[in-house]
Amino acid sequence: MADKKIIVYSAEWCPWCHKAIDFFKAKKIPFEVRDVGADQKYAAEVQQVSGQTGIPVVVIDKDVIIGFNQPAIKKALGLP
Amino acid sequence: MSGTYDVAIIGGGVAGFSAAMYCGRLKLSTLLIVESRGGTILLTNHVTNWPGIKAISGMDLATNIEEHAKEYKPDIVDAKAVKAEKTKDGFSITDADGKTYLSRTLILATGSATRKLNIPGENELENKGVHSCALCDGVFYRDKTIAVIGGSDSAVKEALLLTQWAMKVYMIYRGEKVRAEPINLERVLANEKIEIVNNTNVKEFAGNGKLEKLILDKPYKGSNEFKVDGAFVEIGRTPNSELARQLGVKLNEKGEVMINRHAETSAPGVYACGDVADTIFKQAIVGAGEAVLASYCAYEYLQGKKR
Repeated sequence: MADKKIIVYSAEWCPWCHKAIDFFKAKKIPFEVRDVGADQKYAAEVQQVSGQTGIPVVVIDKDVIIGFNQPAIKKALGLP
Repeated sequence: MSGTYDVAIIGGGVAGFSAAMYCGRLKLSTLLIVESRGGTILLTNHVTNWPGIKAISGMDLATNIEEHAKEYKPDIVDAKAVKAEKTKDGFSITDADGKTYLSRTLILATGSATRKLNIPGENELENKGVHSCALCDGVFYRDKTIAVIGGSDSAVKEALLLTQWAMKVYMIYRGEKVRAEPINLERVLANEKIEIVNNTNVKEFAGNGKLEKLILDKPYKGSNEFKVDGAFVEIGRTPNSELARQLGVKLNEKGEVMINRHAETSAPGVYACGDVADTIFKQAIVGAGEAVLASYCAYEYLQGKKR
């Protein structure tokens, strides 16, 4: 799990994005936030990565998880 | 704890955590089964009708209520409750992983879900131009043209929120006049970015891989095709009352759980509060009040008091 690269595409005002960020913080798992509200480059990037226009999007290595889907995130991380 | 709880609360929104807080105050052993912490209030950008707080984000309000409830140390299980049954001494609740919990009373705070239009293209283009959360996804429509479908107070608030990003926001509503709280109606009528298209239904979301246009049931400016970059559906919500249905609790024609002024349902020992209940004014403050009543009446029920 320690080697996995995690990116959370989010926006400051998006409640489910905060939930996703809090999830990783609570578990002390390192991750990178890409703010689609602050940077248009990331807004375009998340559409390219996920093929849709909704946030949050959580990317764990090659797994692209749309929405704050805890079971899918745990599965991608190998957590119980 | 294991064994039988005094009360099991199903739902983790304002009503659920308010009930957990109050059951804690009443020294009831409390289990909270939560599919998703926060609930519908998370979709509200600014809450300005919570007494004592002039303005707070829905996220912060939900977090504050959760933290307050946790002061009383309820047991919290993050799981979807899928089955509820009456037992000899109370109730059993089973979650999606098959784990079963027992309680002597039950508070249903299961909330509501976004209602869909159920028209062609809605599922195929979901999050590809068709959305239900302006707060989450409005950012993708900077300087774009978008439509909000619906005419309720929630739809009006969504439209107002979206104007911070969009160039133009159309409100497409099947009725004659939008049904917003007066303060919000004033705001929407004064906003130059918003145009209301009334007496009109959307029949289809059309586009190749992403939303390109709406198909209307009557022409707008000479055409039934209405070009937009995005659409937000806000036509109300449906109550999550499946567990109540399983228990044989009386529901109204909308599927909402019928409660009396004590938050009691038709089944002894079962209470309901928040958006799942048949309250006419769905607001967080109302749900919190119902949750307190439900908690107190569960407490009295456990004491053997009869009204």
